[in-house]
Amino acid sequence: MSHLADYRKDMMRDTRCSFCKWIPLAQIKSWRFAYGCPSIAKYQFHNYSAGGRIIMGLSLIDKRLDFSERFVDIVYQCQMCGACDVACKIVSDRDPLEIMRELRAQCVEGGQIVPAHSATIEGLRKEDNMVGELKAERGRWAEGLDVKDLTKENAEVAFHAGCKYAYDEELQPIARATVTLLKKAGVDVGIMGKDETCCGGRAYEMGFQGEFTKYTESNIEAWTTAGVKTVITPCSDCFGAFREFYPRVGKEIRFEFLHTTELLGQLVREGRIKLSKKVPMIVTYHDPCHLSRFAEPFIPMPGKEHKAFGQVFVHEATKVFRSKGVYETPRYILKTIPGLRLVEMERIKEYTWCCGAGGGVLEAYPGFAQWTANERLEEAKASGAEALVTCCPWCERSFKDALATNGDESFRIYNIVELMQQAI
Amino acid sequence: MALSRDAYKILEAIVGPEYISKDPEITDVYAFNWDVFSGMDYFKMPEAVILPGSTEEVQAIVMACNKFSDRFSDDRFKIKFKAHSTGWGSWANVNTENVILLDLRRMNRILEIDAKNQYAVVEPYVSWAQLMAETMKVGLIPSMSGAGANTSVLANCTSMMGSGLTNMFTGFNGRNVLGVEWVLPTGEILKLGALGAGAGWFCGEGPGPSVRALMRGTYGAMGSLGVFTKCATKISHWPGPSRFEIEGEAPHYMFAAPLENCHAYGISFPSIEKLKDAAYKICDAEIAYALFRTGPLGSAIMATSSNKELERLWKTGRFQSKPYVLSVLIMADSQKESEYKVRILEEIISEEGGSVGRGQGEPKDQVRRQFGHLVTDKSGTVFRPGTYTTSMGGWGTLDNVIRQEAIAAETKIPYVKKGLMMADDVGNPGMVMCEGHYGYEECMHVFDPTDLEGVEAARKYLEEETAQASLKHRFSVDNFGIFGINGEALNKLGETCYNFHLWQGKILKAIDPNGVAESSTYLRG
Repeated sequence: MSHLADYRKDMMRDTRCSFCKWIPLAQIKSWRFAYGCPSIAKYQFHNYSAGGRIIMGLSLIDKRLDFSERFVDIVYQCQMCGACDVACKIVSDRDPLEIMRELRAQCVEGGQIVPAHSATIEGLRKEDNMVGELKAERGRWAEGLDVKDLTKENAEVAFHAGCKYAYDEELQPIARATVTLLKKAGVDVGIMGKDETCCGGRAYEMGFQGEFTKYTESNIEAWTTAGVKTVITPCSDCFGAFREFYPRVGKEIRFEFLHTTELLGQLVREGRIKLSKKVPMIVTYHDPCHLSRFAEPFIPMPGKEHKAFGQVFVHEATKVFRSKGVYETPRYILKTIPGLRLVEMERIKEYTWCCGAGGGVLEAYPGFAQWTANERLEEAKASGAEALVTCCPWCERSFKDALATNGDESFRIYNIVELMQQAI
Repeated sequence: MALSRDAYKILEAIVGPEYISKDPEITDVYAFNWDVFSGMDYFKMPEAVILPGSTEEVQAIVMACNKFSDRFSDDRFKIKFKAHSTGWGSWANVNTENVILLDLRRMNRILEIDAKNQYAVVEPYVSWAQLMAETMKVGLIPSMSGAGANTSVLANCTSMMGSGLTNMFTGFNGRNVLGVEWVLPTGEILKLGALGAGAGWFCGEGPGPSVRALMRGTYGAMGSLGVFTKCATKISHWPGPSRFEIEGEAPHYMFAAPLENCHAYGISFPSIEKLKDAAYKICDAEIAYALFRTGPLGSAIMATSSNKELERLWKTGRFQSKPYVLSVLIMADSQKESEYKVRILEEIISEEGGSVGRGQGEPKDQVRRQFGHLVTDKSGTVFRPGTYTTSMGGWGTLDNVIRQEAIAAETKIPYVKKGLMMADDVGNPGMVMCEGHYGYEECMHVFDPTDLEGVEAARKYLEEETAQASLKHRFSVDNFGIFGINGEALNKLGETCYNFHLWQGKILKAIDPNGVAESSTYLRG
């Protein structure tokens, strides 16, 4: 794993251009929905942008600044959604998101832990999940589901529910419905049940790289033992962890990682799932950050560069623009549902606006998480949609909670699987 | 001298505790900049960073600074202020002690778009991208700064440069700026132009006070003469769609289809003289919506999406082989008009020995060129190889700016040979944005800000070479060049140019009698 100091030159090369604050400029369609970064949009001081945190990281390693409560708050008042990274890379060869990840790792290493995160990580260490629930209860979401137990038998496909679907009772039906759909379509699927553990992704984003590595190695081993060819998950956070972070640990991975919409889309194309009933509704689709921007494996190589023409620095690592996410398949599914009309928000795909829940913000700064969700809901309503559809439990929960807090019963949130069920 | 607790409380009462900070975690970040003028050092830390949300709050802050400083005649003890919009350039930083930095981020509204009278009124933190998106909806566009769609409309109009790729049609923002609301360093609010007479925003010169020249001269005072809190800018006829349909994934965005009645060209000429003559003719014919050239280096940087790709492509020599390329965009309201303009352009191309590459009319090529002409989303790319500065250039006739380009290229060669600057651009280091017979030029230089030798070379190039060249060859330089020229060198330059440096001093004294505006970017002599 790399360290913050490895990025020193890249941090010095920050040009204060503020691209990190906006969605890609070519995609700005209005004054209202031009920002890409929730943190700077809410907190306003430059520190709260990726560029600002890069400068803070530089000052930390150069000892211009030291850790403090304010410093740590600024670092962690960020969902780590990656919107900054997409925008920045259009004009620069820097990895702002990686730098911020290393800054967090440095905070954790230095014992600078946000109190709410302490509790979360303690829960992870004891009960193998990020939501403060009991490990023993993990498999309850699948009770009565009649699905293969991968700890006892092999299957082609491992369905990884993820902590949120495993424990959130309101959202559990989505996980159950997804497995049911897959089975009916003839997919040889199994689950780890109560032996499923956290993907480790959010811990990684919070700076707890050691914990992440532990869960990564353990999960890879479990799936390897189960002989699966594919690991699918309905959780976009888990998906992002699997696709982008897992290859960094250096363990051999003999299976493919997919989001469930990728497999469901394939099944619809093949006619193994038929969506024939009308669902007359105008919806807009929210691209979860981790499904949009974290779909490409990327091994950072900070500090590894050579000079061309005397002054031009050339990184050895291949530049990854975070723009090859899973966008089209969920849209394809929605467009296949008869009677359903899909209208797009202004900030979509690789420049989607965050739901608010990620990066430890939900745990430590719930007000900020809600503010971010409210921004997105306003955008969703402005699109003319009656409902917002997504395919991540954290996004769903974030939007539903925001609506409930606001007392708003006029707008609905759906998971894509719910609409598929209505169309079958 | 630290800001006293009482002074801080007064400022806090103006904006609320959420929008002011003197925490070092905050102020340290505002001391950083990439610019060659600081080298590898930081600028000064402001005493506090404050985020006003309205003109009234700005005024209150400025008046507070006057009050804090009243009893001191020694500059060292005064509390000064400086404001910025996006804060991109180092002129937004603080160069002296005891300065409150106003970050105008919260003042981010488009106040009005008057489609009939063709102007828009904005606050400091409205970006060109935002304004263009909104004005396109009513068939108009602003004159977007060549610095990029991420920059501030107000800053560009009132305080800094003002050129863009569509200067030819949409004009130079030094002239596009209309009514302005200006909080003077004394705390008075001055409204310029028609606004000053209560007649609205429509005219920058009157019937109210006509001091646009004091406000910005040619290039602007870069935040040294107070705080501009609102401005109106002209917006021009836009024959294109109300919204761009963009396809592709980052960074390779592209129009989904060529725009109707729109033709984009990259015309190669056999010499810079021929290119210049063609440009003059195109200007006279008034057929271009955009007219500019980027030299091989700028073209290569913007055509690539990584330094790895730049390294590979630059080595092929492809960009260097055709160094005299003029970019032209034709837009029209009808096919007939479009055909007429194209016919004239083709005649000019033929007269001046220009050529258009095969396949340029094809849809795939057209969407790429049209996108490049109209969506200034990649200007920041010039920083990608390391960082960037400009030297010679500025506003002048095309003859003049192209002459400077040749001088800049020649003086750059020793640095390139030593690997202290990139690169050998075949005598064409400049970018020129044309407006009539005038052009705005920047001669660009790329170096690595983490390379001490590169930084020192860039600084020396600006402070010595540019100053000497301007004196020897008798041309003025753009602000970057002036920025790098200070002290005695600037005074010498001033003596050859109507003693502008002395006049600036008088202007500053008149506008800021109490000396509370941080004006180090304005007066460097």
